[in-house]
Amino acid sequence: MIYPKPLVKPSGDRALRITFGDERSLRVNRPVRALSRLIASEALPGLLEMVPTYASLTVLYDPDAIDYDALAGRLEDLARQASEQETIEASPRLLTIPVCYEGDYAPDMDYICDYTGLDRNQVVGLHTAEAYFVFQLGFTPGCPFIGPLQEQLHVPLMQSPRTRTPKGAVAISVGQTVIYPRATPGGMRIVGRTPVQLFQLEHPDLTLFKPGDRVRFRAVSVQEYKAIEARASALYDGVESLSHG
Amino acid sequence: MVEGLSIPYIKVLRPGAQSSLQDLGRLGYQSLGIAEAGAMDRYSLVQANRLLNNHDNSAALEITLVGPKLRFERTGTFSLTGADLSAQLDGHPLAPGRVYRTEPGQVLSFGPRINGMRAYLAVPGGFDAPLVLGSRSTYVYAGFGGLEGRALTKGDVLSCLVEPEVGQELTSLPESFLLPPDGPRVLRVIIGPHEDRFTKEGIETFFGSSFEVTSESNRMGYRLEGPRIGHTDGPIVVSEATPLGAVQVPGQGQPVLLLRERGTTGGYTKIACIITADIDQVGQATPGSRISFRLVGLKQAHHAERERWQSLDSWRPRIEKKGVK
Repeated sequence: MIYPKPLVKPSGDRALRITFGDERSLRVNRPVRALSRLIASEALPGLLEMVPTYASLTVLYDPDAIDYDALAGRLEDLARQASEQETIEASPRLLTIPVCYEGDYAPDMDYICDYTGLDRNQVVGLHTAEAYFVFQLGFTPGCPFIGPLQEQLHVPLMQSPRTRTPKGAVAISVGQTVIYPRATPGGMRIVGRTPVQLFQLEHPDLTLFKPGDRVRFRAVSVQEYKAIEARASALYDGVESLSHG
Repeated sequence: MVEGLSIPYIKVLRPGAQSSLQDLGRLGYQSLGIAEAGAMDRYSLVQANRLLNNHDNSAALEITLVGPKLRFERTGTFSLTGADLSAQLDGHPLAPGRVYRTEPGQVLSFGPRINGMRAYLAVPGGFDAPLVLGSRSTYVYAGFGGLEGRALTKGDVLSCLVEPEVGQELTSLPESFLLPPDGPRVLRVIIGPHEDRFTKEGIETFFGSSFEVTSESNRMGYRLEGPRIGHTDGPIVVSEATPLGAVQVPGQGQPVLLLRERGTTGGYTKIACIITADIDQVGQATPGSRISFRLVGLKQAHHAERERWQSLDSWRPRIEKKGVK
């Protein structure tokens, strides 16, 4: 649901959280993004950092530079304005990401087919059908949370997480797609793998995705995966379409 | 002091369990999934730096539980603060909270843990390491910062940013700043933000019980074990930012403290968040020790943090960087 009024409350003694609802949806995320932009355009003293997520914006502040009540009051006003704004960014980027949905690159494909009752082609067809939205980065550096995923592809988390999910794993669960920037433990169902880089310290952008980007997956063969992998050493290598609109 | 040098000072003969370079951390990148990293006990790190008249943010060696074996390659000084891990210089026991002098060839080793969990070893000018996103901290879990993004290994050479043989007073920290003896810890917390997702009994259990630190505890987080904290409607929330010190309670009803290398977002209920003034204590809590929680308000939390730094300043104020406040 969307809350009738944005909820402002402390999250620890140096952060304040403004929540607009309790669902993973574009309509709840829209005011989160609008509020980030409104805050960025104001020079609020004591504001250290903003972390936009699905349904809330968390603002880190320096309590020696601004009083909590003063900050909360100002952010309540801005949150109300953000809720009333109709538009989202004029022209988000659209990034097209190659994904191999075959064989060892898709260890959970059988589970996903069993659970959803779809066959492999239908799963791939759905996952590559529409441009998704990057709601947030989190978990590890550069890791995007992408959605909303079509209802037919909803699968639960694993009962016990894998100790190692490979770098580039494209995984689904709880109505979202996540791509693992490096090998880490992970509890989501791996539907495929991408050879592109998601995080590069030497690149000024640092991360391939930014919250608010659009993203589309393109199915590639094992052969094409390997060809892209061989040349994808920097951010954006192998991301073959990068456009506005 | 002339900065911009890099003078080999220490050779790593044995790395210890988990020794890494840390400063005050990397701020401003949580929206990209990059956690702060930095010292698990910032207060002890800053003490080690101030003992040597370093900047508060100079990189020091964070030594966890099982210390390394290090050989000094030059004449110089170093300081040691935080946990007492039975440090010895050529066999002579060293107490934490002091500046020591060393000659080339002397060996610093560590023995059984006496008190605390993490010791800090600082050198004049701080350790040299590339500045990555404004910090020299090792982000072990993400594999960058410090020494190639990893803990120490045998054969590493640690360099100083200044000549280590600068005229240092062999001062010591006033006793009141030394790490208090191990014992049950009471951490002050701000409630929420998901307090309404717990049963009344669940909240009472959280504040009325003590929890044991398990061996699944590291720079990412500490898993605690104790009586089950009950949810009203399951542990899952829409993923949101996880502030430093958040106390997350997943499905089994056992608290997890989210620390300096945590995932920057999380989809489990947070019952409370440890106040900034008490987070350093977590870094000194050993597996098997006990933790309980006490509710405070924001004003108390902010006051406590101000007070502990003012009290350190009254011993020795921080060095201001040129042109930087």
